[in-house]
Amino acid sequence: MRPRRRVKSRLAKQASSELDLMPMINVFIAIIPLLLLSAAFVPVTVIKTTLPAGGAVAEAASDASLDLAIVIQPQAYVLNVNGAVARTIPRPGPEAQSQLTGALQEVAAAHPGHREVRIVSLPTTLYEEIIQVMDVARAAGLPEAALADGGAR
Amino acid sequence: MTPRRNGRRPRWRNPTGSGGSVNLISMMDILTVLLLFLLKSYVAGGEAMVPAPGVQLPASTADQPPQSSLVVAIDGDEILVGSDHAASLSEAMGADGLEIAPLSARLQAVRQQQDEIARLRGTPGQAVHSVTIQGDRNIQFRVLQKVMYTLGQNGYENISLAVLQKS
Repeated sequence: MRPRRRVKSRLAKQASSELDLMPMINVFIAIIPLLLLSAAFVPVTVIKTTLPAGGAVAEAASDASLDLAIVIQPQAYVLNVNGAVARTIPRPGPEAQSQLTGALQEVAAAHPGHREVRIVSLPTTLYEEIIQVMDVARAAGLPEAALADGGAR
Repeated sequence: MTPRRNGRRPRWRNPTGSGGSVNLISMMDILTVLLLFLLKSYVAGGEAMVPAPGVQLPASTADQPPQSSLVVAIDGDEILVGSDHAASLSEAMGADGLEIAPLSARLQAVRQQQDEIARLRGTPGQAVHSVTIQGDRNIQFRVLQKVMYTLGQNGYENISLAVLQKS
């Protein structure tokens, strides 16, 4: 009888020395797919903007020292400074955006502290093109973009 | 290795010869690393926003993280408020003025809910009426303009445009 008892006690010791990992694995297997499903691998960011101004020509705010507008036309970006055409940059082209950035940087350098720009779009202008122009304006130091309707012009 | 006496296999050993349990330590290591990585990405990412199904967001260099807000998604066919259909694009384009009536009705209902929740929380009048627009990259400005006008008419003037961050 004694040897059997020894074997039993040895078995009991062996069993207690191993960790039972199955409950932990069950929890992990439930959590990880949940996290993977809701994880955003491509980060979504936002651009704050203001409401589009109604009418064909959006008037600049009365206290603004500079009325800067970029008109997105099908064949060109037109840079308007205080209502007058300052520059026309033909597009689409590989250099169009860098030229627009340069032109906006010149205006921003001439008016330090100015942060606003109006992006005037045609009704058929694609959303992606507007976002591209917003990026260009932000890169040139004009982060506050307002959308405006260019009407049928 | 268990010691054998006289070269015999002990009686109590598993007759199949296997150890009886699978070694799960390496699997646990992988799962733990994966779990920590996912949890870290949540903590570092702040408010996570997932684009609505069928909406291809435009890419941008913007790096401002999204805030918790109402989401209005515009894809090629319809306008969604949250995950619910609010108006079709043909309805939106068929409207005479800038306001989209079905979207406006849906926004009013959502706004009432938000105000009611704020009242129940004991902070009436402090409900934050901000909205994030998830627009497909190929929608036209006239659609965006109508949606933004309708949002403005319903008191949602704090508007953000959702984009995918360029690497």
